[in-house]
Amino acid sequence: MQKIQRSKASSNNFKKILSMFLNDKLAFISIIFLILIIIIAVFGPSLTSASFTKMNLRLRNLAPFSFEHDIMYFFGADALGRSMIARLIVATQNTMFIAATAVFFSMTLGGILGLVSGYFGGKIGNIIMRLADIIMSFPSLLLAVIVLYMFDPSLLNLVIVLAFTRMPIYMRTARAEVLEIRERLFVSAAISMGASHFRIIFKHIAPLTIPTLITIATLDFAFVMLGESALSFLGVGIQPPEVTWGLMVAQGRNYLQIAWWLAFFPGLMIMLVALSLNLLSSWLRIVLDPIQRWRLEDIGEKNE
Amino acid sequence: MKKYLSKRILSSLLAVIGLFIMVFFLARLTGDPGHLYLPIDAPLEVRKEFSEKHGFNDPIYVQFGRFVGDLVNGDLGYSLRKERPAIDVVLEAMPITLSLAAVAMTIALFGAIIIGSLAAYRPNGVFDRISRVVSLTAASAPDFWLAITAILLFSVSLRWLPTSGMGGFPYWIMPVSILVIRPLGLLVQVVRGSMITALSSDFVKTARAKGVKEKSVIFKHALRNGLLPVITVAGDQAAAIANGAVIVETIFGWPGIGKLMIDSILQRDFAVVQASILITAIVILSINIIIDIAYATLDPRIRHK
Repeated sequence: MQKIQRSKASSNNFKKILSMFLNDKLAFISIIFLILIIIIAVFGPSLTSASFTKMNLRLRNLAPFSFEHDIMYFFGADALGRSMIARLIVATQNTMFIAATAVFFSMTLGGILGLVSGYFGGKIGNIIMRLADIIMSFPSLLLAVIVLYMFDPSLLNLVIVLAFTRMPIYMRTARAEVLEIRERLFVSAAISMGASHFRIIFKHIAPLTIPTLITIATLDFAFVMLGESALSFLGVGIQPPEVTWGLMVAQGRNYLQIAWWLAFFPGLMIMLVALSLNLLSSWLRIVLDPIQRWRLEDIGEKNE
Repeated sequence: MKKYLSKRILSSLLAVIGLFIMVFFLARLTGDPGHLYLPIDAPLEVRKEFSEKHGFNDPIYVQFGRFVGDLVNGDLGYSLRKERPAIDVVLEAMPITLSLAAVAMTIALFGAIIIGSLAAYRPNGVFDRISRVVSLTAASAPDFWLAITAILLFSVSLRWLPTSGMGGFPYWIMPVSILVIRPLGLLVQVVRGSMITALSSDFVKTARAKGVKEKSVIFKHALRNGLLPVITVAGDQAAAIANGAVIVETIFGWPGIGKLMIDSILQRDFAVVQASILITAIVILSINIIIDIAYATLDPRIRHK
């Protein structure tokens, strides 16, 4: 009986969230767009990888939106006559992969450090938070440029640098959450039953911090992506022949006056993905905030 | 209050020291520092002589001691590229970036307060919806892309504004606008959020119940309280603006600290890189301390503690 009730409640909840979602048209469009981007990132390159480096010197700097050539040249071609569509698709995969890996590592490491710092407090906690202060007090882009200059700008180093510079946000958030959760009854219960620190942190406290951390990660994904493209633009990010959207903008910069589309389309992609993530996370924040949630629920009831 | 401030300054000092130790060891981690300081094509004899002269062959703690000693004397090394003390080169570039950032930050802050308050006045109203999309778009735009698109549009096609360089008012328009856009987008969101909270709080209801004029409710009661979180976020934006300055200065050819740092990195002038890191960190931490003081003066709850 209880089970049935619970499943009913959860399906109701699901319906509620779905209707809240459909009500916010912008959030809805963004998620569709992001799913599309993910599909392109995962499957696109295997379908088009052959043409991404294929040069066709006759089509050098081909203007976009012409139907005269293959569909792959609809968005034009670059200075070496390579199809813009194929390059954009391969760049999608690289850009998404770098940002996703970096966000994953900074969320995991930052989250754990924040948990430990909040749970134990005292000296360890303070040292960890000072570390966060140091990282935050310095412009992340300059830090990344310096590190990537000292070590080679390889894919791995790029991911490490991006993950490292974004860590403080997760550290601070996780710590703030833990400070509050630590005082709750179930934690005292776990302590009185003799649970180890490790078990309390990761089994009892960590699951409660995950929703907040994931909301931040959605927003942070956009930041990391913008950071990566800025680094690639400055020439210390990903190196040719590999390609990301930021690098495409940098390469297109030299042909700005004769072929505007080389820099324009990849930049537009960066902006659209970042915008979708921003819209999605602003929706998530409203849904997760009980004080503001009625705004979305209300419209839902009116429409029904 | 005094105790809090002195604690804050102390921890900032520790942060600067920590950052600097990090840079010192990072430079040594890569192996031969001559690799960082000298041009790539420097012959072996020159490298050996350089290592000998600067004591890179000594044990690392001796090097660190000397490094700290020089630092205390205000000696941050010698710029190989400009053939002048690194500190002079950095201090020359700093005011340019600071003035650029100050203008941009002022515009972003005032713009955000106006737009955010208007949006918060009727949450989910027409203005709020439009400002939400516009400000999120602004926060999502890659600045380097905006910059080159703007150059293409306003300088190359329309010929309204100069493509790059420093000079009178027309030279400032594009760099400042590009630098304003992202912080403005982020700050509008923050102002809106905190103003919604402030406008629905008890003291605003009380003020309205007392019959206080609407103008005074918004500007005197709500805005003053709503601004507190905005000030904190504005502090974080100081570092973000520095990020933007790197891009803007590189693209528009302004001889500020951002361009200096990128150029020094690309041309392997490591003394200047080190000096820039130290000075930038000090500036940003000082700005944060000033913001903390502003925060405390604006909030009587903190001021009277």
